[in-house]
Amino acid sequence: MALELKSSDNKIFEVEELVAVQSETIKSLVEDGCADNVIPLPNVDSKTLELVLDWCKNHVDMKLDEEKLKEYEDKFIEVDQAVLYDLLLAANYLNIKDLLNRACQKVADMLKGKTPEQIRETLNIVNDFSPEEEEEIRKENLWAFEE
Amino acid sequence: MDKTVLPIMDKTVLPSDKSIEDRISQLPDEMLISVLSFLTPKEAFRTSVLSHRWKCLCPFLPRSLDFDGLYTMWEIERGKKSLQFERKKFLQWVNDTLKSCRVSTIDEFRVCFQFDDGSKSHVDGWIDFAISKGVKRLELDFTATDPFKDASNFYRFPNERFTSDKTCIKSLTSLTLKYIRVTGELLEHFLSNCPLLERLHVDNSEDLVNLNICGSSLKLKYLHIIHCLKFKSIEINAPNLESFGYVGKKIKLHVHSAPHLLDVRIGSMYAFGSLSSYLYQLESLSLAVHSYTYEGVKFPEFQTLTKLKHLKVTVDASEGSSLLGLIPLIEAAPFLHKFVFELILWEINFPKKARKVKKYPNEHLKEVEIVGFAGRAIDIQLVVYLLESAINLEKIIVNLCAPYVVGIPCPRNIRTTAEYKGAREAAMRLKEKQLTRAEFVIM
Repeated sequence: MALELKSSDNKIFEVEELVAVQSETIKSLVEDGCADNVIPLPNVDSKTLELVLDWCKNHVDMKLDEEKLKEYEDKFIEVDQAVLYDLLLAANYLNIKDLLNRACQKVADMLKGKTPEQIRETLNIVNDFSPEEEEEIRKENLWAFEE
Repeated sequence: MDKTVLPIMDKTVLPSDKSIEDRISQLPDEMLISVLSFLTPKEAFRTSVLSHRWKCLCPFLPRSLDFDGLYTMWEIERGKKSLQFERKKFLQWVNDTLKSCRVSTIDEFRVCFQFDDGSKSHVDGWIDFAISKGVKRLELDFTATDPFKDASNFYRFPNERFTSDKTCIKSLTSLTLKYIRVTGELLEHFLSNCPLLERLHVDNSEDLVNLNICGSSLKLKYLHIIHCLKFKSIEINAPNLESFGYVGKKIKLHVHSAPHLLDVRIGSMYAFGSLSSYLYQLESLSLAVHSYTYEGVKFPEFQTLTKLKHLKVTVDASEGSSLLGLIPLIEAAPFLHKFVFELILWEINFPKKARKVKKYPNEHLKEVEIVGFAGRAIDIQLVVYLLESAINLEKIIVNLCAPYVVGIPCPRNIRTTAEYKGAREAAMRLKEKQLTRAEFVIM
């Protein structure tokens, strides 16, 4: 059975039900009988939706081959920061647990092994603490900053 | 790590590349907390200093206090530092941190350093602190680097505090005690009073004599008892047990029921008898074998171990032995994915002549690791067999460090020989022979 999904920029995607229900959000719509017409997804643009559907399709196809799936996932998640955040938000909105998990892990990898200064640099975070405030936080959580 | 004060950014300075905005801080709370859950508790907490938005996540992060002195302990062992001095420093570090710790709960409390009963008042205080903060994972690793240390002087776990029901330890999920004197009665008490206890690991407690583990509601998944010299008997009736380890001399071992047992670590062959009915459900097995005869390693007859994916065998042998006796065990596990063998060579003498072995292609073996590679006939024979029969092998790691040295920082400085002479050259020659398409790593 095929379902029709509409992205925020009005592009229609036709997908197999089996693939689409990897999203718990879509799954509940199907179960509630609300999936007969086109399902609008106002929070996901076509570029991201295409990627997400590729993920879902491969998870159905490679379900039994753990190694091949892992290889695919590792390759899939090698994307720009901007695309990564879009994927994160889409996976959250569509409730696709494994994609959400993998994307969170990728963001965590960007933070690993970096000092707060390096993290701010990489992710463009503005430091809105005064020097005194920052010193206070370091003192309060001494065990985390002590090496 | 660098302790100098890091330069603090003037808050009016904006990032130079304004086109890339800070999107990560805009993600919802739950998502950031998920991201932080992939970091170590320390790393996660450090993000609290990034900006106000990140600080707000603090109360939701798992809290861990990990005082690890492993590196310092080995420096002391090598005579580079003084135990007295370092111990005092360590005590101060822990005590000061606990004093300034203002959180209301902690998830993990771990101390790894050489302490004995002389520091009892301090350690008792730390345990009180951890329990009062509802600790979930408690680990006290007081491993003595000196093997001849007097075991009767090891730190005694404060029984009295726990035998009165007033102390609330309901939050405990994992308890690891190494080189600490704790009795079987106390452990049984923990098992009955900690409904969430999943993991119990006791190493080197001479007060542990008997252990009776039973209870239909037991959540215990992991139980390892290692090198407890006076240990005599254990009875296990733990419906959720997944991993069991016992290393020590022969004891009365009775496992009544463990339908989910997947992983076993045993220090000697005699335990096979008591666990024989569970062998066929195991996914991973780790055993230690002593090869005293010239025929080499011998195993009892095995039927097919269809579920076994990981096998680790530690062999201590003299050079005249043969490791080819391991082959029937490898062949008994047709779906074996990873095989690790650790070689402790206790006598280098005249190597036995190479024996011809019938090779059956092994389709599933993907990874092999040899620890303590000596580059002598005894291990080369086995390695060649593995390389030639494992047709789908992806990786082979030849680790030249002796097994007892693995895990110790900077082993090359240790006084005893950590590597066998000529091993590296032999490994390189083996690599050059190109017997396999697999990645060949020498370390």
